[in-house]
Amino acid sequence: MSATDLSREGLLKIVRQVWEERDPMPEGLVERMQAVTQTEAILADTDLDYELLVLVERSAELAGARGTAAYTLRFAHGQTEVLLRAVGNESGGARLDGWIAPAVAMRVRATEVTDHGEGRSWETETDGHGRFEFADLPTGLFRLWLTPMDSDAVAFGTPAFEI
Amino acid sequence: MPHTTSTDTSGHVWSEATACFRAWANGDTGPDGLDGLVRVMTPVLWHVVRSYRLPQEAAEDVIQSTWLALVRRRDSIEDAVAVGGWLTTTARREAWRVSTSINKAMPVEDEEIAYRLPKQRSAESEAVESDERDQLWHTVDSLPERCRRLLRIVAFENRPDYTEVAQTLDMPVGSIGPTRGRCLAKLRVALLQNAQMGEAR
Repeated sequence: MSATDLSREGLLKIVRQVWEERDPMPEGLVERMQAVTQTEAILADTDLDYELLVLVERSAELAGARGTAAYTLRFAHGQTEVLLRAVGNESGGARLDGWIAPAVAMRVRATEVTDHGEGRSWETETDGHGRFEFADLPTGLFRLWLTPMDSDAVAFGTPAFEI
Repeated sequence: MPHTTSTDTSGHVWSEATACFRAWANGDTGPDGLDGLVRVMTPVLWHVVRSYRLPQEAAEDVIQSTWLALVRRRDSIEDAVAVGGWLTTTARREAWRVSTSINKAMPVEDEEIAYRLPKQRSAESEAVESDERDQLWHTVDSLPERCRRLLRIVAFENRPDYTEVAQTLDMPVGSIGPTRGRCLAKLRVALLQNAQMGEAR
């Protein structure tokens, strides 16, 4: 340590080194963010206009006899709320249940976010109570798109979340 | 140091971010454009956001919403030089917002302890180096909490707006500059003391 640089810049460099070693960025974070931004950049070039739902709550729980992990995510934008609950299923994928409030007739699309941008997608519709479900999604990074049947109303999209 | 990624935040990160942003504005979404911008700036955002003591998942969510906001509002950034500051400011505001809602419900100690635990060291050849490293960790740890957080933000950001930083750290606006100075002085003294103890051994 005899050659430690104690100038302001030297000290700040030490602070950076300490934090980079003790609290390093999680594995794969850059790649996940690249996948998310690529998907969004492609969307930005299209006519699809949507409101971004903001994640307001995330909670995990243990569910089922075999201790399958489940978690819920709550998103909101203005008066609209979307609640999602993901539970691992027996085929190694996940079941995703969702509710949108207020209950509006929507087409719901789940799209995979991959390194090459948007991947496969699955579609369903809300029932009269604003409920929807995807019985068997593979694990991975996903976004949901909620498009009203009444085309004048506003569409919503979630940020990417991991299943 | 094997897992150090981009320690030199003192200049080239910001100019690289600017260059990537310019290229992206001209349509390049690849390694010299959008992908490059994300690669260069995500580590910086990680440290800024974690200064607000967010758990890992919440920190990742904040970083993602920062990136989504940038892609959605790219045209609002008129000067490419400003992109780094725009990103850290946006991330910091969001991290603060989320931390005030989370910290009410959840004690922060566990998370702090989690990243304090020394990592496993395997190779004996690392012993001397890791001894020095542990000393540095302890030295930074010995600083008061507000010093640790403020210095982490100052170290990773590029000339942050002190008025904003003050607000998000619950510190008086005029006090950031002097506090930063005092914190750096404390760190300098602690490092000198360590060095003297090292020589005495």
